[in-house]
Amino acid sequence: MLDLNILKLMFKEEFRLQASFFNRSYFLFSSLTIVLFTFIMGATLPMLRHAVAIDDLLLVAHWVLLFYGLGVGGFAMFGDCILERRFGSVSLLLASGYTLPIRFRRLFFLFYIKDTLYYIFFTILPMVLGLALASVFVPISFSSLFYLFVSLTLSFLIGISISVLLFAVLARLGGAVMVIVAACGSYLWFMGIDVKEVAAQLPSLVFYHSHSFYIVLEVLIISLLLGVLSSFFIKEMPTPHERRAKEAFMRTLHLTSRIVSKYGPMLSKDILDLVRSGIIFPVILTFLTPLLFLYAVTWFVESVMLWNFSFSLLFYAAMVGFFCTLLYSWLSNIDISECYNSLPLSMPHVIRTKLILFLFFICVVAVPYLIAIGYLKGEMDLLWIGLFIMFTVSAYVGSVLAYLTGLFTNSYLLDAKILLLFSLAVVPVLLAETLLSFYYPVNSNTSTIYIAGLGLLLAVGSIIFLNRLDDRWKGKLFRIA
Amino acid sequence: MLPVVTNSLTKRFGELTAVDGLTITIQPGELFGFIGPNGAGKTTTLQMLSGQIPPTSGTASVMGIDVASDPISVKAAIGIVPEIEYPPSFLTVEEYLHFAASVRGLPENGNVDRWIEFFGLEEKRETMCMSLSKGQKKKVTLSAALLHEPRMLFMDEPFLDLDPLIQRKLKAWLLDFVRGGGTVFLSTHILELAEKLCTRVGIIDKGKLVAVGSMEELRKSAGEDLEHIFVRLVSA
Repeated sequence: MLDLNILKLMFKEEFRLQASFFNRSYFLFSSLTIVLFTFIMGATLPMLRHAVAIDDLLLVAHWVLLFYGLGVGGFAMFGDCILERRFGSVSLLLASGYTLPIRFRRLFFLFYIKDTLYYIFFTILPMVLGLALASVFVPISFSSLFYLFVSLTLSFLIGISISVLLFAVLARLGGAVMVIVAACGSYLWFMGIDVKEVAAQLPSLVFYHSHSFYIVLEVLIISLLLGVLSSFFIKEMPTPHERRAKEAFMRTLHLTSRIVSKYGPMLSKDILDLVRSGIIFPVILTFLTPLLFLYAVTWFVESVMLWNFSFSLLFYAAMVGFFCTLLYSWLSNIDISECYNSLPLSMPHVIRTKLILFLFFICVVAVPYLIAIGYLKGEMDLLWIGLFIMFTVSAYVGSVLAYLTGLFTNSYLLDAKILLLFSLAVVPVLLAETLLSFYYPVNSNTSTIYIAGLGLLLAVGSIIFLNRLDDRWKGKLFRIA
Repeated sequence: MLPVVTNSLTKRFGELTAVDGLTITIQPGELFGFIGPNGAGKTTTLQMLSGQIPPTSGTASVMGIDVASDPISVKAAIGIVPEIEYPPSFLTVEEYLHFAASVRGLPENGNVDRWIEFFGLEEKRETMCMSLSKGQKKKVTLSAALLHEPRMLFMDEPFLDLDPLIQRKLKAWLLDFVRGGGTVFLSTHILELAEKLCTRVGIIDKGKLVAVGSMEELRKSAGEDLEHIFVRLVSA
């Protein structure tokens, strides 16, 4: 009974945590997006079959879920670091063992169950639900959907249980585990194993094809055992680990001050924060994921739907510029800023520092991405104009976002008025850039002139918004968003 | 130049008037105690005077600088110790102080070593602030406020969470500081501390200043201590 109550509270905690990271409608929105995505996939299944074998699709789907499970397990273990940066200090129910008479092992095991159920409910179920909706239009049997739900869940279970065990052992035995894992991986690689053949032996995938419930039982028992085993590696009397580091601020400051002297201290602090908190990886991933998704969608429209759209590099460039919104959102929202209240720092100064970091990440993540797309599509001749579009769009979107939302991007974007203003400022620009990207193959000279003109307008717009940052944000108190 | 001059200083948060028409003057070399019950407006006053939040109406100048029109210059001229301390989690003690020094435009290393030594933080020099205890965080925040040797300090419960040895050391330092012409605006709940340290005391209740003066001026009868004065004025 107590376990059930704790589990319920852990669910509530997970909801509120996700809400504070993103927004209250995030879970529903993300689940609905998954439903929509798999519905489109399902509805276009007859066409999809022409482009790719169903077995290959199933293979990819099961391995994606396995890696998703690995990621969820890893995030749960490293979540403290990220939360520390976001909130300063956050106590999760997981830490109740410090003050209440309950074993950490028991809490850990309940946390593992909570995470597993939460993601099955909000990710895997919507995936299958989308396909079920598509079954109204295309022949997909309900029995195959049932088996798919079970097999995808098994994949996720394998991923999360391995990940949780790995990180729990890692916390106790340190780098030795990583060395063993790397050695095993290297051995398999050098033995010349056929990766696809090995991948096809994934128990969950074997279950999907064989419908053997012995496999389900096996995976469930193994996952449960791995969860129990992981909990044995949890210390019952954990000693708070003191994190130490050699002085790196002054070295970073010497470097940043040469480039942006006025913003050097803030920039150096943010760089150290990003690296030491490990948040730099989610930042890059958050940025990369929608970009990869965009590539997948355009591939889907061109290769599967066989629609005669030519998504040139210029289209990608405009979209990449827009996706930078997410990047600014991360950079502005994951920082503890209260300490700035007692220093001679203004909010516009801190916002401008975020924009410098924003520009840096665009250069190191978005530019290589655009180059890769140009290379893959054989459109390297459009690279310079693509870079021009990407930089002008991202500078404009970033400036608008910084002006409207400052350091409180996620919470301010929930304000209907601000969201409307943001949409009015950004959507027409994206539409114009998209139309110009389609017009480019028709008349490249005229299109180039329009793109250049629009780019100049966006640059002027960016300068206007940046100059108005002081009016809007001067004198505001630094606080948790 | 007077360290603090306010005239009808008011702060409203929607319907709530947190500080209502505050008029005070603080002389150089004063250790001014600001006391009041919870929610009386102490922290809001301190935040307005130290340039953290703008007043709704009225005027205030700190070290001759208008707090409403130039809050950054006010912050540059003074030292602020907030009640709740939030040093950045992933910077070490030494790095945060270097950060504060560089934001204040101090030469490399500034007074960092001096204050690390003063507050006994030598062993925690390379510890990230997230791993510090509350008391250690307070010491780091105090160090950051004192790095640039300001002549005016705004302190909100600075002794909270500090160990007795450091409390004693800090008290002695503050008395030396005001003797040398420095000024302190001290917001506290600890009446004994205010009574021992402060040259003048202001009592605020429901946003209004209900009394201001030296201990002698506030006493109604011989032997009345600050606790009695406080209870008499606030209960009334």
